[in-house]
Amino acid sequence: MIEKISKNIDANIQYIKDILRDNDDLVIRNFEVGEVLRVKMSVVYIDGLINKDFISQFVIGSLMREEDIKSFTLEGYKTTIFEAVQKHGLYSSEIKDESKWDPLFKAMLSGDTLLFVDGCDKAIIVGSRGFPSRSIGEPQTETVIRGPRDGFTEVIKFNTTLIRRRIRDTSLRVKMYSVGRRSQTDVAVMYIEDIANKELVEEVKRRIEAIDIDAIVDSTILENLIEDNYLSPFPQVENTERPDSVAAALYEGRVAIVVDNSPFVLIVPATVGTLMQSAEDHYTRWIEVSVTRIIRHLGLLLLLLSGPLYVALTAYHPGLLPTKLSYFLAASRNNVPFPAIVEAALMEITMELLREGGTRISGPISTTIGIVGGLIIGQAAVEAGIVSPLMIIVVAITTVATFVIPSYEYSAAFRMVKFVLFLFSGFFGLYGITIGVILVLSHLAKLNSFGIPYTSPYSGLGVIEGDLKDVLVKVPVQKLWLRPGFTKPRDKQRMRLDKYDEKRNEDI
Amino acid sequence: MMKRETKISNIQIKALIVSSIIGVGVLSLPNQLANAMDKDGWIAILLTALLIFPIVLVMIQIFEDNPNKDIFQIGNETFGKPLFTLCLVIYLAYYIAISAYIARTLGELIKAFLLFQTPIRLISFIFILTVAYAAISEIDVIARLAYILYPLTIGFAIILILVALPGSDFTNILPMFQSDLRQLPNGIRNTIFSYVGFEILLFALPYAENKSRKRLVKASIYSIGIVTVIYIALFMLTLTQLSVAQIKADPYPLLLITKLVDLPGYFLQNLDGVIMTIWIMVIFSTMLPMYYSSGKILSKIFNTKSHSIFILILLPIIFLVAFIPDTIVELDTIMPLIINILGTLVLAIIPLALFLVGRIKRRRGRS
Amino acid sequence: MKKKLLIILAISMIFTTGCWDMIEIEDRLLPYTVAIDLSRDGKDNAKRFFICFSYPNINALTEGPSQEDYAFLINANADSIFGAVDQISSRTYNPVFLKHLKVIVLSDQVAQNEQYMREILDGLKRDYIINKMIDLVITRGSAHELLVKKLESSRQHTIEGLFTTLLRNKQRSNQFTPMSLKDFIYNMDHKKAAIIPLASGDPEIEIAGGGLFKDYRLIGFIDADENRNISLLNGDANTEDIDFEYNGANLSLSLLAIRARKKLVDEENLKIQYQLSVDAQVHQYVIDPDKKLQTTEVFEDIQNKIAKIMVDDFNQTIERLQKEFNADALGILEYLYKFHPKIYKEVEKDWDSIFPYIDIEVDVDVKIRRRGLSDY
Repeated sequence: MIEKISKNIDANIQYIKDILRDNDDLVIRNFEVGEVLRVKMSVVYIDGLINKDFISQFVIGSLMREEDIKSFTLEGYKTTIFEAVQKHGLYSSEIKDESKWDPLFKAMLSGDTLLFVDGCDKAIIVGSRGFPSRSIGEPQTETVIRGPRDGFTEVIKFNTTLIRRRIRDTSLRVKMYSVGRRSQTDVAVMYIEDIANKELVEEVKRRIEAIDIDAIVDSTILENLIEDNYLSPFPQVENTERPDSVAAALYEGRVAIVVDNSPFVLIVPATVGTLMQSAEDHYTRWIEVSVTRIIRHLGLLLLLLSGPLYVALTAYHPGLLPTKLSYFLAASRNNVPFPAIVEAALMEITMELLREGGTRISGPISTTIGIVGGLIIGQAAVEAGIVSPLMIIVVAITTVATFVIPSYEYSAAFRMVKFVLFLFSGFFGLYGITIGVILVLSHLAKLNSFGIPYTSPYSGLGVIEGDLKDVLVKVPVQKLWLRPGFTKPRDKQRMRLDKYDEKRNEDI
Repeated sequence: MMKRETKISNIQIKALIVSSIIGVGVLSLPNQLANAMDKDGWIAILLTALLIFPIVLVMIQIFEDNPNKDIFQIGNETFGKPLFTLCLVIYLAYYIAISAYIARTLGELIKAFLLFQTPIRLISFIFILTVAYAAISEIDVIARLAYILYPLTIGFAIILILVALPGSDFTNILPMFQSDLRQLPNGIRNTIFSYVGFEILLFALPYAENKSRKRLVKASIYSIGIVTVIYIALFMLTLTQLSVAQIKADPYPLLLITKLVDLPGYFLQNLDGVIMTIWIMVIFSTMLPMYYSSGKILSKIFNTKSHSIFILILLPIIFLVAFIPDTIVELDTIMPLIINILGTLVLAIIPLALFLVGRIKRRRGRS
Repeated sequence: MKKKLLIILAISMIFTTGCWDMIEIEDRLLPYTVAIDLSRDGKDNAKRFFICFSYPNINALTEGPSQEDYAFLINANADSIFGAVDQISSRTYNPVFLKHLKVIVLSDQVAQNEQYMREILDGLKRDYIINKMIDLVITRGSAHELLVKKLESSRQHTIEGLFTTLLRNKQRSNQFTPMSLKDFIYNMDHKKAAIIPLASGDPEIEIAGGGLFKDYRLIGFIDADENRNISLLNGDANTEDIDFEYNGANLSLSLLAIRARKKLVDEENLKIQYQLSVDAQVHQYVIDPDKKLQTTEVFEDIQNKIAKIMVDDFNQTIERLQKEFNADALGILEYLYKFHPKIYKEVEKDWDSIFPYIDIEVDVDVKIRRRGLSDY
C-alpha cells in the first residue's frame, strides 16, 4: 500500500477506487471551485455512514460559493488554495488534514468525508458521521424503580458523553485506542486521574495495547482478552449498561472501558463485593439496602447449597435432620423410584432446558412459558411419582435465587459451581459439600482482578478503610466519607464532614 | 504484569495466627486437661498462654533486628548455611508430622460420624488434596483465606456455647482449686500441643504491611488472647454439661456436647452435622499454613523459584506418614509425642537461639 | 502443569468411589424406641436379652388418614443392642440406623441386674451415633408387652413415637421426671440416686412415678407423689396442685413458682435445711356466701395449713429415702462436693452409713397471690 497521497487528484481517486473495489456504496463527487482557477476537488465518502445534508451544505456548498479563491495569484496558488480551503472555505466544525493513506481510509470507513484538492499532497478529513443508531432508552438488563433511565447505546461517542455528563471534573481522562486489525474498533479508557491508582491505570492501558487480534466484535471479547485468569468461571471484569453505575465506579477510583458497538461498558477492577451491588442500591434508603444485600448473599448460599444439601441429607446423613423432619422426608420420598441424586439431576437439567428455551422467546410469551413450564412440569412429575415434592421446592428456590444476584455472569458462575457441588455431594455427602465449598473459597481467594484481590472486601483490609461498610450491609451515606480502599486510590476522602449539620439526626 | 504485592495487613496476621492455632487440639483438650487437673484445667490454659507470649515477642524481635529480610536469609546469616539447613529439616519434619496427624484425625472422625463405610484413606487423601490446591499459592492468598475462615473459627466456639447454654448446669464448675497443683506441668504439657501453629509467624511477619513493633505486639496479644479465651470458654462449657468423670472418659468431649443439644421446640436437634462441617473448615485453616510452610522450606533448600512442585511431592509423603499408626491408641500417643518433641525445638529453642546468636553477632560486629 | 496434575488427580478420585454410604432415606429403618427384656429363651446357648425396636410406618405418614399401622415392631434375641441390629438385618432389607433413637424401655428384671445395666448403658454411651439425650424408661414386667400395648392405642399416635412426646410434654404434672442418659450417668458418677420414669400399659399407656436406681441397680419403686416431692426438692419441677378440706369444703390450689434452696446449717452434725418458697393461687373453692376468702387471717391460716401438709409429705418421702432405700436421691453428696469440699472429703468414703442419719429439715413458705376471677 502506498503510504502518502500524491499531488495528482486523479491518481488519488484511482487509488481509492482500486483499494475499495466492489464497494458500490463508495461515492466520489468531483467538482470545480472558482470561476477563474477552476481547481479540481473531490469529495469521497461511504454512503450510509455520513450525514449527507451536512456534506452538501457545509462542504461542497460552501466551497462552491467561495469567491475569495478567484482572487489569488498564479504563483502561490497551490498552497494557499489549500490553506484557503482549510481555513476559510469549510463551514464544518471538525476538520483535520492528513497525507497518509492509512488514517485516511480509516476515517472514511468510520463515516468521515475526504476532501481532495488537485495539486495538494494533503487531504482534508471532514467529520460528518451520521450513521443510524438506536436512541437512548432504558437499559434492558438493569432496571431500577427510582433512578435515571438512560442507558448506553452502540455508539461510543454517545456513551462517553453520557458518562461525561455526570463527571465534570477536569481530571477526567478519556483515552482512545483502536483495537483489532480489521475491525479497528474504538475503545475508550476513562478514569479520574486524581482518584484512580496510577498503577492500575497503567496496567489497563498496557493490557489493551498488547492485544493483537483480528476483530473485537463486542466488549465481551475485550473482557476475555484482558482478564487475569480466563480459565476461571468467575468474571473478573464487571459490565453494566447504566451510565450512573459507571460514573459511581469512576468516583470509587476504578477504570471504565467503553467499546464501540457495544452497549456494555466494562468496569475494572471487579471484586466479590462489587459484583453483588446493583444500581438500585444507590437510590434506596440504607436500611432497605442492607436487608436486600443480606438477602442477596442468602440467595447466593441457597443457590449454591440447597440442591447439594438435599442430596447429601437424604442419601447420606438422615441423622442430621430433626427427627420429625427425617420421617416426613422419608414419607415424601416413599415411592420415588430414583435415588436422590438422579432425581436432582433430572430436575436440574429440566430447569436448565427451560431457562435456555426461555431466552429465545421474547415478549409476553416468555414469562408465561417460564412459569407455566415450571409449574406444569413440576406438578406432573410429582403426580407421576417420579420426583418428590420437596425436590421441586428445592429446585424452585434455587432458580429464584439465581435471579437475586445482580450480575448475570456471576450467578452463572455459581450455577456451574453448583453442578460440581452436586457431584461432590453425590459421592461424599456432607463432607463432599464442605470440601467443595473450601475449594470454591480457595479459588476465589486466588483470583485477582488487575492485581486487586478478588475477595477484597473480606480479605482483611479492615472496616476502617471503608470496604465492609458498603458490601454486606450498607451504612448511611453520611458515614461513607472514605472511598473503598481496595483499589488503593490516591485521594481517600470523598466527603468532608465539617459542614455537615449533625444536629439534624439528634431527634431520632 | 502488575506486581502483586505480597503484603499482609495486621488483621490478616491476627487471623492467620488464630486459625492456625485452633484446630485439632481443641476437640480433645478438655479431656486431657481434665485427666491431668480435674476441674482446674483452665489454669493450665492461662499459664500456657503466658508462656507462649514471650516466644512470640522473641519472634517479633528477630524481625525487627533484621529488617527487610525473611526468615531464610536471617537463618543463613545467623547460623550459617549447613546448621540452618538442619534446622529447616527439623521444621520440615515437624510440619509433616502435624499435617499427617491432622489428616489422619480428620479421617477418623469423619468416618466415625459422617461417612461410615467410605474408606478412611480416601477421606484423608481428599482432604490433603484440597489443602494442596490452596497451598500452591503465595502467602498473601493464604492470609486472605485465613481471614475469610477466621470468623468461622470464632463462630464455631460461639455456636457451641449458645446451643449448649440451655442445658448447662453452672454449678458444675465448683468446686474450684481442689486439684493437685503438682500436676500443673503435666497439664501445661498437654496444652502446648493445642497451641502449636503460631510459628507461622516466622514465615508471615516479613511480609507484614505495618512493621511497627507496637502494632505487631498488639496483634499478637490480641490473637493469643482470643485463642486463650476460646479454649477456656470451651473447657468451662464441657464442665457445665458433663460430669468430670465423663470428660475424663471421652476423647472428644466437644463433639459429645453437640450430641446433647435437643430442643425440639426450637428445631435444634441433631446439630452435629452443622458442627462437623464448620469444624472441617477450621481444620483446613489450620493445616493450610503448615502445608504451605513445608513447601516453602523445601523450595528454599533446593533453591527453586516456586514451591508448587514440592507441594505435589509432599502429598504422598504426608499421606503415607498419616497412615503409619495402625490403631487409634498409637495415633493418640505416638504422634503427639513426636509433635511435642519437635514442637519444643521448633517453637522455643530455635527462635530463641536465632535471637540470641543474632544479638551476639551484632554486638561482636559492632565492637 | 502442576495445576493440571492436581486436577487430573482430583478427577480420578471420583472414579474410585463406590458411593459406599449412599442409602436413600426411605430405604432406612429409623427406630425411635427400643425395649430390652430378659430373654425368654430357655435354651443353654441362649442370648441374654430380647430386644425390640419400634419404628414408624412411612406409608402411614403420607397425607390423609391411613388404614395401616402407624408403627411396626421388630425384635431379636441378642446380647446387646448392636447384636440385635445385626440379627435384624437378616429379616429386613432396610439398614437400621440408630440416630433417631429417642427412648429406651428397660424391663425391671433387666434393671435389677447391675452388670446388665452397666453394659447396656456403656453401649449407648460409647456409640458414635446414638444421641446421648436418649430417655430412659422402666417398666414392671415385660417391656416388649408395653410396646405392643403402645401400638394398640391408636388415639395417642404421634410421629416421633408416643413415649418421646409423653416424656417431653411440657405440661406434665411432675408425676414423673424424664431422665436422659447423660443425666443418669452424671448422677451415678456423683453417687446420687437416679429416678427413671415408670411406664405401665394397663389400661392405657401411662407414665407415673419411677424406679429408684443406685449404682446402676434398681433398688425400688416410688410412686407419683413421692416423685413429685423429690423433684420439687431438687429444683427439677416447680409446680404442684394441692387439694384439702378447709372449712367444710374442698379447697383446690395451684402452687406455682416453687423454688427450693438447700443449705448446710450445721457442719458438725450435718444438718441440711431446705427452704422452699411457694406462690399459691386458688383454683376452686365453693359457692357459698359464708365461705369467704377475703381476710388476711384466712389467707395466713390457709398458708400455714398448706405448709404443714407439704412438710409432712416431704418428710415422709425423705424418711423413706433415708431409711428404707438408703438412696441419696436429693443430691446431698453432690452438694457437699461442690460447695463444701472439705466436708465432702471426710464423708465421702462412709457415705452409705452416714446418709440415713443426716438431719434433713424442710421449711416451706407459702404465699397466696391470687384467687382467680372471684372476689371471695
